[in-house]
Amino acid sequence: MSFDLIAAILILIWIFIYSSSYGVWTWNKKNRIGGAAVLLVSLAALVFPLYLIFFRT
Amino acid sequence: MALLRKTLKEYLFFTEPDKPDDFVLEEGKDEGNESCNDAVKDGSGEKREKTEKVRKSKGVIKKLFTPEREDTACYGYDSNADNSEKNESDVKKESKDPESIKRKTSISKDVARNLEYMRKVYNVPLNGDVVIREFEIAFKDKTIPAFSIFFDGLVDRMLVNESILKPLMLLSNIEIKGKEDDIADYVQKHILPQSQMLLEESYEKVIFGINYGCCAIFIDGVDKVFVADAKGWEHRGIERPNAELVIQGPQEGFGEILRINTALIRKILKDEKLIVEDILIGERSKTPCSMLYIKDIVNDSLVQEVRRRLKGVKIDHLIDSGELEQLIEDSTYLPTPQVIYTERPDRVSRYLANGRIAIIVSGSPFALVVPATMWNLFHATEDEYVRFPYANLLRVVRLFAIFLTLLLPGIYIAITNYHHEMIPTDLLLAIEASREKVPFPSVFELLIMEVSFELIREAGIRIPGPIGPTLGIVGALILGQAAVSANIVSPILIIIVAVTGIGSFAIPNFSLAYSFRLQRFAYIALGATAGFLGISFGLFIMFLWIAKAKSFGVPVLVPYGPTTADVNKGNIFRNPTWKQNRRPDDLNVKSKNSQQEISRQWKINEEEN
Repeated sequence: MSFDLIAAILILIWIFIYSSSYGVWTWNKKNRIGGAAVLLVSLAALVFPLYLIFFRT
Repeated sequence: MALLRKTLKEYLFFTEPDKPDDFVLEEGKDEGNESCNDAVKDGSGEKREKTEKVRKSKGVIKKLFTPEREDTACYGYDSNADNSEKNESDVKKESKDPESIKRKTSISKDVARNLEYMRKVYNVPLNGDVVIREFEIAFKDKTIPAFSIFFDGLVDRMLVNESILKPLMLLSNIEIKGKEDDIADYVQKHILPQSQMLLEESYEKVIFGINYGCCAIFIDGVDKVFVADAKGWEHRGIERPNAELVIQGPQEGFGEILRINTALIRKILKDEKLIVEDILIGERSKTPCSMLYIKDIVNDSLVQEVRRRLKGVKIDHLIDSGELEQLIEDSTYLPTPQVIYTERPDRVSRYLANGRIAIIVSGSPFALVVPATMWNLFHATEDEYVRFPYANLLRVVRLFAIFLTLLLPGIYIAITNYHHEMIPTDLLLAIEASREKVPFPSVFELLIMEVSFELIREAGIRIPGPIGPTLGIVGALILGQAAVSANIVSPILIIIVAVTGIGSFAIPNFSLAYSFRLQRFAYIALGATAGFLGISFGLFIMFLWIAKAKSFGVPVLVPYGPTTADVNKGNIFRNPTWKQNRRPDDLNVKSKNSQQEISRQWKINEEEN
């Protein structure tokens, strides 16, 4: 596994944690739909790049 | 270790942002206890305290509350009004200056000394327009030497001769039944028939009065000076407003005389609650300015904020309201204007009735109205005078004009350079065919035309008389045609630039049109470098910037950003007049309703019958 790949995965994880923590904060602020949407987007921001990196040929 | 953990946590997890600054309109009510209590309640006490300290050290807050002026002089302004605002360094400087000490000292009883002093102050005989007339007043079998001093051209000569000098020199000889032993009392009660006259006790006030078109009368043995209002300078009459013409509606525009301008507003509003507060701006020019508001409608915090800013302007000379606008606006670098600039008394009156504040500067035919939102700038005067479907049609046209002015050249460049697939093939071929012989890249071609258009417009304004519009026609038709024939530009570009130019003329606010003209070049650059992505980026930045902007504490995009209850009430589209029951809620006005809930009572009566 190259350094570039590790850096990309770390950045993805960082983005996921940060944005999902924002989603949780939004959820706690009684904005349920907003919170759920942000969590969904943050999950997509992690899953799609990982799929492109590892599974797409 | 703890620090590392804290830093990691800060960067890894989202943390709630600090609370933004409070809305100025609400916090301005009392800078003292109330705001402190609020700060403690919301837990941001420390931060606020620090901000307060910084502001206090800059001398902003302590200038917010000033004592009420004791009296307004006959010339309409208290010459001490601005002196109370002088900061400590100015006071120290002045205290050492013998001339300024003398000016503030009381007037001598010796008329010869007074005459000598006034000659020195006004550099007589070097100063050609100062008139000093010496004469004698007969009082109880003796004659008392006196003199009058005024500026030739500033006063009404006839008035000075007939109502001041003639009574003093001739009527004083007639025996008048009066028991006064004091000559000052005698002259005031029996000789001078002036309606606006003051007895001033310091040289400073006398000099201010003379500079403002009054006639000062010094009498031997009296340590006071009569300052009689005798203003009579030449001025332009009331004419049609040049920049805001309407077909339907009043045709009067402001002039250069402050009192006429305030009277034009009072004539329309006829409301005893309309306050015309006078403030002098300019250490040397002492330009009289008036701040107008309706006391039982306007938000007091807004009045305090406007007053604070006006009194905080420290310049030597103020000539026009445009200068004042730049000195009091919130953001200097924001391209869009933050103050409404109008020359129509009816428009000012409407804004005042809605709880806004107008500022009029002596010598300027344009009034400033604050605070301004984007929608105020987008509305035209005529919108309220024509029936509401027509007004809405005009507003749609104006929105379209804004779109054209701001984005059309940028979009053209973006499409021709990056997004060919967006346009039908036939049109694309037509564009390409027209550009076939043009040797320049399209962006360069567009810039040539835009700059030429701006040049023609600027030249058309500067050239005097009827040649100006002629130059516009010559520039647009002949030069455009010649440029196409010479294969410098393509015909389609002429259409693009012309439509863009026409769009900018349809924007009702002159400053807003300027701002869009300026931003257009940025969108051309963005469209040329990154196509639609660049234009979207530019729009995003522009909206962020505008969304952050405030005008005197009121967000510029209100009621859409932040959203208020007025979100659906005639900002983009106008409601019928009978439905406009409430004043705009963005100003937190004291009186919310502008008319009765059912303003057309006759409708009810009709139904009952």
